[in-house]
Amino acid sequence: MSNLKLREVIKQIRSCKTAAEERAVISKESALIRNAFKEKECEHRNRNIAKLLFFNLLGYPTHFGQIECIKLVAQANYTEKRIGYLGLSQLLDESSDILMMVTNQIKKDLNEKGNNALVSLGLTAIAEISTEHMCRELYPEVKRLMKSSSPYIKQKAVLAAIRTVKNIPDTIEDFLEIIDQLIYDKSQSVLLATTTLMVEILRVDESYIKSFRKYVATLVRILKNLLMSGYNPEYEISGVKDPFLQVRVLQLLRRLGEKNSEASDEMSDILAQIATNTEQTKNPGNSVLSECVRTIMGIEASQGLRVLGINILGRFLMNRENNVRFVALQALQQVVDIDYNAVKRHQATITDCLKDHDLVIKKKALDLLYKITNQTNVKSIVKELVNYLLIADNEFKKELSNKICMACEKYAPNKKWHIDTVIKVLTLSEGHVREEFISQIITVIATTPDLHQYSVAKAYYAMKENLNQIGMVQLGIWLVGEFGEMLVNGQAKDPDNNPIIVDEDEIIEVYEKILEDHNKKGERSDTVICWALTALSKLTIRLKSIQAKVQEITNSYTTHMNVEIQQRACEFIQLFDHNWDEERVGIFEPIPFKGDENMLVDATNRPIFDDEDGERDVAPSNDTADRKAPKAKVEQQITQSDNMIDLDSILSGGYNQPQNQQQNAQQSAPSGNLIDNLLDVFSTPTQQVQQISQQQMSQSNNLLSGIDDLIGFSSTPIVNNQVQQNTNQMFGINDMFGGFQSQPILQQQQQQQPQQFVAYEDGNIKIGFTFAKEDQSTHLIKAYFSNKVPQNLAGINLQIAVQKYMKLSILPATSSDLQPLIQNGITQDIKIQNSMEGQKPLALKIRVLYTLTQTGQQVNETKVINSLPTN
Amino acid sequence: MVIGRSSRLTHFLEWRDYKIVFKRYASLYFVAGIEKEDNELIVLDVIHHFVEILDKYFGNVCELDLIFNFHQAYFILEEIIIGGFIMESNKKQVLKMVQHNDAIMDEAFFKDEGQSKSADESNKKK
Repeated sequence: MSNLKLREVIKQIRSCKTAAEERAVISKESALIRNAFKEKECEHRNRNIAKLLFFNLLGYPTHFGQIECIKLVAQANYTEKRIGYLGLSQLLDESSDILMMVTNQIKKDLNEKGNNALVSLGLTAIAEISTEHMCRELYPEVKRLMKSSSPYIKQKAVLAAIRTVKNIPDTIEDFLEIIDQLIYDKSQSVLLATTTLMVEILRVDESYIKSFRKYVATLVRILKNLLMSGYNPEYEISGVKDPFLQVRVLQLLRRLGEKNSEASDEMSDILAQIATNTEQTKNPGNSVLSECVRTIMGIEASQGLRVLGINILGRFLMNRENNVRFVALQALQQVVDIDYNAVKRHQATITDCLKDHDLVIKKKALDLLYKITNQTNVKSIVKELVNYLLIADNEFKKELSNKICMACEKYAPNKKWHIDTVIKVLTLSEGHVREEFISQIITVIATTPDLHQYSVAKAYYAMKENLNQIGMVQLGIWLVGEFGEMLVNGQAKDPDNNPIIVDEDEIIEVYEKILEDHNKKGERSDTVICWALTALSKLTIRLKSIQAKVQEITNSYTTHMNVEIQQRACEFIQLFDHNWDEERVGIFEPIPFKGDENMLVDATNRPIFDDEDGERDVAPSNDTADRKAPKAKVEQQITQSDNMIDLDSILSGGYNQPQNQQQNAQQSAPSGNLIDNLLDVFSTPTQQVQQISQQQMSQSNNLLSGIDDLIGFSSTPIVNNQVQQNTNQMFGINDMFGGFQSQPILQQQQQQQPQQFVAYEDGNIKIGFTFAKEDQSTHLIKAYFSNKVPQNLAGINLQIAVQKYMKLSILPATSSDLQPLIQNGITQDIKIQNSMEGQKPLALKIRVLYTLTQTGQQVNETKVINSLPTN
Repeated sequence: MVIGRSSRLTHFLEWRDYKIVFKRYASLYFVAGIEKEDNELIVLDVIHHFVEILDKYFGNVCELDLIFNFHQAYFILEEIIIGGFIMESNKKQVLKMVQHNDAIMDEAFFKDEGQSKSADESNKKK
């Protein structure tokens, strides 16, 4: 038996030098305590439990003491009981079955009339750890004690009631009548407990908001009395009267005033009073103020009151204390939706917070800035952010660079600016930009032939000067690989419009340097090597004198440790063989980005040509014509199979259409050989692909084949092979020697795209809705606009009217113009809050306005939708 | 996470779906986990409230008071916060109740297991 006293054990543990020593002491003590329990040794029971409590505090297992706690609770002696109850709430939790055993004892203690100490122990136990079963057994006692004559017991009983209503919501009804008395109680502490109970009831069941509204006047009076009352040092903290009660009442008022102008009006005066009169120099005052502002923003407050609230937040923002600034930034985020301009006024101050040395503040400020970004201010905000990127520390760079890319993606006013910004970010981000943003910018560039020359030159130099920036290197090598010829044909211009000609050998040197830098540096570097090898191979048809050199470089990777790289290198070496002289040009063509706008908006909802219609129109007309043809096909395919993405084979796609036709013309034998040949050469790559091919082959009768080959990159969204099945039964074999592991990002997104509900459709335009829910009654609707005619639709405007029981907010659409024949070219977010959810349907009236640009015809149509199928 | 932060920075951290509010008083750290929509500033007040009461109870509270009288700290906390909600905002009332409950405990318990003030101080000297 252990004779050590509690303090001796604690001393012993504290004198331990190592964790092992501590474990030894504790396991020895624990063993002794266990023995004592086993031998039903009573003398030092509470000492032993107290020791266990200490072990528990240090994180050691103490479950063997649980039964002993229950025994202690059952003792008559107060000391043992108190320790027993403490053990109960610390060593046990709600899930312990043995709690059942203690229920009766608690009941007995609760009935100890006149012994408040025992009653209070019982109530505390209910409030802390009671299970549903216990609550059911004990709630009549709790109810009775809520009416006790002692305020002390009343408070505890009310708090025990909180646990009860959480465990068994149907007891709420029973407590209402008692609340009706307690809310007029004289004791501030009882009021505190009662209002807390009310807040919690509303969290369990919102439907009580209505019945609690009758207390608004009472609650307002409580606050008033509190503010008017004379000096009472017991409840006052640094000049603020009982901030705890104030905060709780404000919370409750917020719930009661939500979407109810009558209740909101009733509380306006007191809110204004608190907002103006509360002491601001100390923390308690700020707690009350911040709660008050939240309430003002949460209810149907008047304009004047809101301004008052926002001004408080503005002052908070200037506060020296970071805690207060944090709260301000957080609160402003909610205000953005209510009063955008008010938040925008503080933009400069918010931007300053980015300079703070506290990462938590910086992140909050960044989130807020991102939230106030829109199409009109994106340029100025992003410019600021990029400036901060220069000085940001590493941890913040990650947040910052990705947020900038997100802002660009969402709001870029035009592509050139988008490209410039992302390149700038990539050169500064230390590799923190996520690869998805790199593939996005690649897609943007690839779908804009007018910017190829510009981008490749810009990216090449940016890459060359920032070889340590992995993101920039990835973008650079990809672009140079695709459009390298534009660097050497003398048409590239520097910013001063002087022609640039890059030396071919210099390009190769850059690639060699990159390959060397990234040798055996981990997964991402291996990806870079893959990209670089692919790009080099592609450059062999773009630059004249480099094939030998490229072959030499590639050769050295045929024995690389990474299987993926090795395979790629081997495949490219094969392709340099003379057998492939004819096909090589076709194989190394740039990846076609067909059906571009289409896919992108689907995939990323990104407006590509925002206000740049002008620029796009400059595009050569034959290019547009080229695009249309495959697009029709593409759409057809999308409808045919969900999991396939439109991706035209090179041979049938726009870039070398003639060649394709030629091949179509020559049927049968030669192409049959070609297939065999191909399968032979690439028997190593993914077997799956072969299987698909063969399966397809057996399915169709008249084989005629084109070879699809895509030399692709892992995260380029478009890289995805597909078998193209035309009506005249021809298909292409796919080969994926470009298929790095993670490509079908787009595919997934496409699949995730839910079925659209057609909200409006006429001969020119189609508007589809998809639905999601934010919470029980809030529906998030995404509208997709599709253009059905081969001309631009301008000035598109969707207006929606709802019944009074719904609250509607419409965010701006991604654009107001739709390109010809584009699917889902614009999206718009709509939020509807249905206060009668489940009782009344989502009925809307919509009006659609737009202009057909060629004919100048204006359309203005309305339509009533009686019920939206929100599921 | 908490210990590494300087007191000049915010006393809040976002952690999973919760927020952590913490405050340091000399060598004593107080940490509270709260929900996203809770008012962080008032939690700082709650912590301060608790500390003031501890301070009154122990008379200039220090780490050792809390280590050797951890059960006492628990008892006090139970008079302030129950089931996660602040119950009593009146410091005097809290102390009165704690002392009242202490008074009906066995004196022997305190003599044996608790620490007298002087013993504490001798500990500090060591």
